[in-house]
Amino acid sequence: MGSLKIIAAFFTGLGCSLLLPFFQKLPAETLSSMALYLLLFLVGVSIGGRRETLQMLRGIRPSLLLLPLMVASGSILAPGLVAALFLPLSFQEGAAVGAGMGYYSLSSILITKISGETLGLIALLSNIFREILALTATPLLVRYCGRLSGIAAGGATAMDTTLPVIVRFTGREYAIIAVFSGLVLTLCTPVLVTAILSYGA
Amino acid sequence: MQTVLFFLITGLLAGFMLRRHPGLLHRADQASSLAVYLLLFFLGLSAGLQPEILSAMGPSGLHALILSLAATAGSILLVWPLYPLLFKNKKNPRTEKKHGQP
Repeated sequence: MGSLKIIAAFFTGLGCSLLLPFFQKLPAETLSSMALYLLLFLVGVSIGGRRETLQMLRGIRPSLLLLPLMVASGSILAPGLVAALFLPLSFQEGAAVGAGMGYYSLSSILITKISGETLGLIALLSNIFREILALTATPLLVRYCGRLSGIAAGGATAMDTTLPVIVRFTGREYAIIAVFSGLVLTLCTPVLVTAILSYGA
Repeated sequence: MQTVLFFLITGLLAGFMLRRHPGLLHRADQASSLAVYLLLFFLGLSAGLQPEILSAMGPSGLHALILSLAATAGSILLVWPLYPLLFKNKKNPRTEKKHGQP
């Protein structure tokens, strides 16, 4: 549902800029920067204020960090390689899109700011696809690709939008682990995306 | 990069200090979904102002699909070996020892 509204918001903006001259005079750049910083701040607030955050800081064993670490590595390396080998994109660009880890709003805006609208659009669509894929394929994935594959496919969204599906098919006892992995990845997404794109720039 | 970290960390601290005010936190969540819609609206706005983006829409969609399949497959592949490593033979997947602890 959320991703439908997101797509609608994007196309409303697109339509407004094409049809209504008023919107063409808006300082879209400045406004979106301000909204981005507000969003980053609010993401922090919502994670810092969660009761689970503190609980997890105390109760989780350190080796579990391997889980988000591997999810992030796979999400960055595979799209990077595929982009460099098969698409008219660089490793860096593919890796940055993958580093969104399903967190389409934040990653697409950051990528737009750093690399421009074309890659930003790819990031938006690609990360929405990833969320949809995780939502729809988790039952099959958990069955054939290992117990943790739902959490892996969910990426950063494993803490909210894809959590119900993951819990349902992976097991209740994995809820906290899914939230933990999603939380770590949500915090890492903006940092990784900026780091990847500013590397060597 | 610094700006991104700055806003994230200030937010984390603010959220931590507000953790006993669920009403305010709820407001923050609502505000953040509003910020997301605004952001995407602006993204659409600036995309519409550049005609070359519109013509790249089709290929971009295909590239996006390929990249998302790659990202999902890559992360599943790397996570696969973790299950036997981290969770096999553990009654409680969250903590291995500390018996008597809630």
